[in-house]
Amino acid sequence: MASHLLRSAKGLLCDISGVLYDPDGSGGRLIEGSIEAVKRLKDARFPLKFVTNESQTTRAGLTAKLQHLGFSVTEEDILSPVTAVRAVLKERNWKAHLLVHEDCLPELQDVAATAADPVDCVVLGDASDGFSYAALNAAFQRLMTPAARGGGQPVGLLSLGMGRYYRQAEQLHLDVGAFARALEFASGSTVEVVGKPSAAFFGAGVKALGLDGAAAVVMVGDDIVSDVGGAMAAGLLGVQVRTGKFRPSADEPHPSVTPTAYVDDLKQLVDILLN
Amino acid sequence: MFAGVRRILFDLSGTLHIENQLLPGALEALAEAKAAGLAVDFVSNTSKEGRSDLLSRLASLGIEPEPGRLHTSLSVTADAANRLGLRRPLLLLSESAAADFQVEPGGADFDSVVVGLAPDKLNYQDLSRAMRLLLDRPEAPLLAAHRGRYLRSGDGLLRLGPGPFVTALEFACGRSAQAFGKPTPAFF
Repeated sequence: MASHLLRSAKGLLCDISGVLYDPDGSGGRLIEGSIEAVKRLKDARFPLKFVTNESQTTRAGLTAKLQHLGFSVTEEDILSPVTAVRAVLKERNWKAHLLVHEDCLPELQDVAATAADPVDCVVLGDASDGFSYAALNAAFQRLMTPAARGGGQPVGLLSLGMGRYYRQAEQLHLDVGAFARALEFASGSTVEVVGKPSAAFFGAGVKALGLDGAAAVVMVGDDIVSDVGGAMAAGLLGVQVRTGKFRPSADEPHPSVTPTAYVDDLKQLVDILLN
Repeated sequence: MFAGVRRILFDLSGTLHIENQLLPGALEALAEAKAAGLAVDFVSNTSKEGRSDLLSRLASLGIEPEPGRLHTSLSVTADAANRLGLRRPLLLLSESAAADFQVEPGGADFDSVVVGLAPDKLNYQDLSRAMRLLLDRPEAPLLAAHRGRYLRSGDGLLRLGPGPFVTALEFACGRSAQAFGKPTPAFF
C-alpha cells in the first residue's frame, strides 16, 4: 500500500541534513548513496526541491557545501527558512532583533534592527553557542517592550523551525525549538514558525515544485516530528529515513507520527520512486 | 480572618529585601510578628545562592532566621534529591548553590539533572550536555528548583529565571521536570 502511494508520487521535497549528509562542524560527511540518488532524480527530471531548516549559513553557503561534497545542486533547488523569513519581514515592513547564527547575518542585513532601534519582532535561528544566557535575556527584554509599529502591538516571535535537537559530529545538540519554547514561556508570546514544520512552508514547497496537489508529493526527512509529521499534517506523504538523527528506540514506532513509509536511506526511496 | 494564625511565612526577595537593600518596614514587621508570639519562617525561591551565602546576606541586613526556619527552593530540591537516592546530580547551579547538594564523585556518570538560576551554567554547551544525559537515560530525573519565568533585578531590568530553561529541556527531551519551590503545594 505504501509503495503504491510512493510509486505514483509526482514530486519530492527532500530534507538535507541527515538525508544527504551529516554535519560534523566542518565540511560534513556524505551519507552513502545520496549523491547517486539525487543524480538519478535529476536525470529523470523528477520534480525535486531541498527543504531545510538549516540556519547556520546562507543559501549560497549551503549550496557551495553540497557541491563540494559532490552533489549536483544549485541555489534555486533549495528552500531555506532564512530566505523565507527575509521575504516575510520585507512584506510586513518589519525590523527584527536577530538571535541567529552569525553566518546567516549577511542574508538578513536589510531587515535587521540595530541595538538602538525599536523592533517589530525577534527572529530565532540555530544560533548554537550564540544561545547564551545574555543573548537570550536580550531577546526576552525585547519581547517585553512594545513593538516599533505602535498601536500596542506586541513584539512578535519568529522561529526558523521548531526542531528539538540535531545531530552534529556524533552528538545531539539543542535546536532552535527548545529556545523558542523557552522564550514563549518567559514572555507569554506565541511563536510563529517559519520553516518546517509550518504548513505554509510545506505548501510553498509544493508550489515551488510546480505541482498543486500535496497528496502527490513526498517529503523525506530524518526528524520524525518536524519533517515527517509536519509534512503529513500539511497533506503530503511522509517518509522517514533511518539515517541522521533517527533513533530506532524512539522513532520506530513513534507514539504520535505514523509515516507513510520508513526507508533505510534516500537511495532506497529513490529506487521506489523511479521504478 | 487572621484570628487563629500561629505562624507567618515571610517571602524574602521582593518582600523583605531586594538584593542588599532592606525594604521599608521590613525589620519592624518582623519585630511585630515576634512580639505577637507568632512563629516566624522565611521562604524563598532563591536558587542563585546556597544557604551559607544567603544566611550571610540576611545577617548583614539584620534578618536572622531561627535554626530550621529558612526554607529555600534549593533546600527543598536537595532534600528531594536525597529522598530519591540521587547521588551524582548534574548541577546547572552556581557554585554557591551547588554547595547545598551532596555529590558523590563519579566522573561523568550522572544520575539526574538539577536546574536553578545559574547564568554561567545556562549556556548552550552545558544545556546540550544535560539534554544528552536526559535522552540517554530516560530514568534520570530532571529536577527544577522552581519554574520562575523572570525576576526584576536591582537595576530595574528583567532577567530570565530558571523556568524557561527547564521548559527548553522538557521540550527537547519530551518529558516533564519535577519542580519544587513556590508555588508548589508541597513547598508550603
